[in-house]
Amino acid sequence: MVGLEIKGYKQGSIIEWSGLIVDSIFLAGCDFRCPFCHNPDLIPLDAVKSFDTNEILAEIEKRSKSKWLDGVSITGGEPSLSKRLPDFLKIIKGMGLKTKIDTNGNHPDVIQKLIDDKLLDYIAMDVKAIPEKYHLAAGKKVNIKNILKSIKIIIDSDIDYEFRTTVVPTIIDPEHDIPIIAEMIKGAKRLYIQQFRPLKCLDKEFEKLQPFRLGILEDACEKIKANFEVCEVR
Amino acid sequence: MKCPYCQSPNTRVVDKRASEDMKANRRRRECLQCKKRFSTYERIEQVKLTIVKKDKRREPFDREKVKKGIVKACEKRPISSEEIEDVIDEIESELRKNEELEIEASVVGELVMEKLRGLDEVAYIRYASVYRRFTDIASFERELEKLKVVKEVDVKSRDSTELLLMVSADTREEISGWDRTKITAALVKEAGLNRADADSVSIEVERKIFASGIGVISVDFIRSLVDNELFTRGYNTKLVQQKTIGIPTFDLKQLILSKSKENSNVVANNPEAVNLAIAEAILKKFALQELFSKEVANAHRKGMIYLHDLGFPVRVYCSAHSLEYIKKYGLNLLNLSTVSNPANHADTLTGHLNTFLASMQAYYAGALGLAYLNIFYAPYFVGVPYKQIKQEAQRLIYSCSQNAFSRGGQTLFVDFNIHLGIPRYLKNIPAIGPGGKYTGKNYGEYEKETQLFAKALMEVWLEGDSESKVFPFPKFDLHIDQSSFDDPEQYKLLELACKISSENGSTYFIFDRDEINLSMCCRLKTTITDMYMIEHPESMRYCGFQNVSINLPQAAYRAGKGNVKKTIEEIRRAMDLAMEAHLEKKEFITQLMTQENGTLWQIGMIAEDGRPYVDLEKATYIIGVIGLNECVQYLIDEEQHDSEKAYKLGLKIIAGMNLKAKALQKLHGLTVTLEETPGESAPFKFARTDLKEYPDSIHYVKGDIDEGSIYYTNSAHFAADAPIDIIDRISKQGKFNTLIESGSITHIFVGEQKPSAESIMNLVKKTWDNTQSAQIVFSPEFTVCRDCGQVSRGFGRSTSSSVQGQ
Repeated sequence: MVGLEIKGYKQGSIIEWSGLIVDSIFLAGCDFRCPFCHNPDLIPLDAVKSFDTNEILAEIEKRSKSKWLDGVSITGGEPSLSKRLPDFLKIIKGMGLKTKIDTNGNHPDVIQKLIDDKLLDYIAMDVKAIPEKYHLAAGKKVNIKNILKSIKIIIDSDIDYEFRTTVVPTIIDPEHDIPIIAEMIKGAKRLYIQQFRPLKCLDKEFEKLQPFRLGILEDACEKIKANFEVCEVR
Repeated sequence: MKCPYCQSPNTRVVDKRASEDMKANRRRRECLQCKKRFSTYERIEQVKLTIVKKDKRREPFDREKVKKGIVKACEKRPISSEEIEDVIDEIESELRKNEELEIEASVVGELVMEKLRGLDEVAYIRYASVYRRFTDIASFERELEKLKVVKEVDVKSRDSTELLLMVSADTREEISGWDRTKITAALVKEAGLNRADADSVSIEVERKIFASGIGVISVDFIRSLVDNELFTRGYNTKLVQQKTIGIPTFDLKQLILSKSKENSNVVANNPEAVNLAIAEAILKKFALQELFSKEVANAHRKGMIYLHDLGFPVRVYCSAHSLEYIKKYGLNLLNLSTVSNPANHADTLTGHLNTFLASMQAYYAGALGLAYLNIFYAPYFVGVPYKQIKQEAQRLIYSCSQNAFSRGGQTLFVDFNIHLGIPRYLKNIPAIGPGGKYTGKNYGEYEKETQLFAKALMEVWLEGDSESKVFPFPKFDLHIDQSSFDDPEQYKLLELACKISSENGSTYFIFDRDEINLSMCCRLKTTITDMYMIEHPESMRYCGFQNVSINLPQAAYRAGKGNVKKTIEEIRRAMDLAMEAHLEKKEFITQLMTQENGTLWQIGMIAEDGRPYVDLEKATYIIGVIGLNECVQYLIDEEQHDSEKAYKLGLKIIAGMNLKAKALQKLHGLTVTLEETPGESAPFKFARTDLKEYPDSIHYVKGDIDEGSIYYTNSAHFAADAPIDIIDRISKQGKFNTLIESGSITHIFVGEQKPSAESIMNLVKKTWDNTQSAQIVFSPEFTVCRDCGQVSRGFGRSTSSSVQGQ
């Protein structure tokens, strides 16, 4: 479907959305070029063949009638770029399922609209680096105002959410940067500090990086934990 | 005949008899004058034997000359002249038997030596030193060595077979002189040969050994020479009886020098593990050769069925025990040299429990389960501060996880069954407390202590050991029923259990859908129907007698592609053989259990509570299921997850097996149930054997053929890597759980991902509500860094270069 290229459909995850059993939809298209991106195939719109959106919707509808499925998680790529995303979310909501998107936070107006239209139950937003190094993480120049605006919209909204930061060596210095990131999302409920995995990266050089020891991440987490309801390393 | 002593001619014959070979008459005479006695011999004048000397000179055979040499060698030895005469007789008759008129002097010499060797070692050496013309000490010593035969002798129990010597700590090495008659005796006793044949075999073996000039020879080697001789003479059946069960030296070295891969419950290699591995290697052969019929043994060899724990033929399989038994009676076990009264304190009870488990592990090949553990501990915790309860939980879990000594370096395979509250049926059962005395209260009144102890145990399982490593044992088997969700106190504990599952995967969620569920180990469970057991929890115990698994893919290969009906027939045939194996082992084990002081007398005799500890008539006879997925795949070219048709066929096959098990149960009056066979070696062995016999199997076995790690999918499970979502996996496999009554489990592989406690709770609740699933577990993968000991999720990723998977 033009405006919504579904490249992946994974059923029954208990990982994507804490507490819920969801199906995951992978959409193509992204405006970032994060060198450590694990789904580089989803950056262009046409690198892999798209699924028929109607077939996927029919399958989800069938599954929504079982007593198991709680919701659908939409990831990418960058879902907020897909023009038909609101329509798609509307159909899912109509099935009585909850919806969640993953976003890079570069399109605050889209997020604002989705929230206002009550199409989302959960948002997971990446905070990829401290402002001075955001271009390193995104692989391009980023207007940091957009990121900060998205953060504010999400925190001020009445839906549930999480922020997450993947600690990629050369981009994030855990000891120095994590407290600054914590400051960027001050007042937020949840922050997950994620371990970087040197597997299948957009920039092959990143596959050679040695991740930080878990202990270092835990130490960084420990320092800022008090600022959040939930702050964990995962 | 003149008296040789006083030269008087007046003698009389007191006794006359023929020599053994009837070729001479021997007369015993007495001198009438000096009363001394002597013998004379009457012989047929024979054709003259000619002796060919070394320098080719010929001279007539002279009996006296031979005698002179022998007498000289026997000087001052305890040998009578009569024995010397007998020896010379034998020599002469053997020489004449050959019907050769000319005999080399060396033949005579060797014959004399041979006879002397049997008669007296000193005499033999004396004779040999002259005959062989020893020029130095070394050649003398070499000859001495020829006399010696290395032999292992069981010192303590002479009636044990030599096979056991290899593992018994009571063996010592002994070197004893060569004795041909021992071969003869063994052949008569073990192989049932008559004496003459046995003698003839042993003589030939002896000739070969001596001819080889070998210095030291082992009993095993003598046995193989005897086997060889029996074989060339066509005594094939005697060969089997005579056969040694042992281990080739190469294999033995492997066992000693490298870690045994057979048993995953051995933590690290150590001498005990080596002993266990050797014992298993030998006992496996024993079981196949002696315990099971040829038909059953061959079915195992050909991979039609798999006899689990074949290396433990003198034990029963698995078990559930009751803490109440230990609480009420203390410790009085045959393999303990002292007796303990019932424990007065929780820490003593923990000590008793550990000793009890270690002692009991000797009688079982498999798991030891403990039912209602936290409930039965509860009376010891009345008024005890939580800190102390936690301390006890640590003591209990640590000590149980660190007992790797009683069965050949194997960690105790222990299951702790934990309940979040008091089940309805236990509420009104009188509680046993400190000192083995009834407290006057019922278990229903100990819910608070039960829950506190559950919490303490769970916290220990959550924390892991001092390096945060997961406790593989004791296993945390959590029982869930409707009240686990409805009762707020229980729900709080259930949340903790979900957190443990999220953090390290230790929680096994067991769904108590039947009224009374006694579960024991990885997946075995039984429904208690004997109400006496509930009313007297000290008698609550269970025995899974043996597990025999069926190779489902092979049944399909034998039936042919597409032939479902024949496949089911083949499976039924294999199940008949499995039952036959159960009956054969039952008969064998009965012997060990019913003889006083027999190997299994501890569990066979009447226990403290007036019932036998194990009652084979009430045990469960388990038939395992392996490779349903590949069986279906071969029949219709679709795996179970591929289509509804394939899934339904799988259900049909298992339903057929369930019916067959019920029929066997009725026929034999024994409990026969199906089990989802745990991983172990069976799926690998089946795949390997099938690859040889059924080349088609190459398209169906899973794993890596190049690396040799091929297997069939466990039990009735969907393929481990099937692209099937968690919901389908649980709900579809749950349907099998009602047919596989003895135990089944659905593994949810979460790999390196970490589902949150809330997600796990969600899935557990839905599994309880929406399926027939009996048990689920969330299995993460962990990697432990060898250098820094750090535990991380996922497999093979490391913080440094060396990693160790768990």
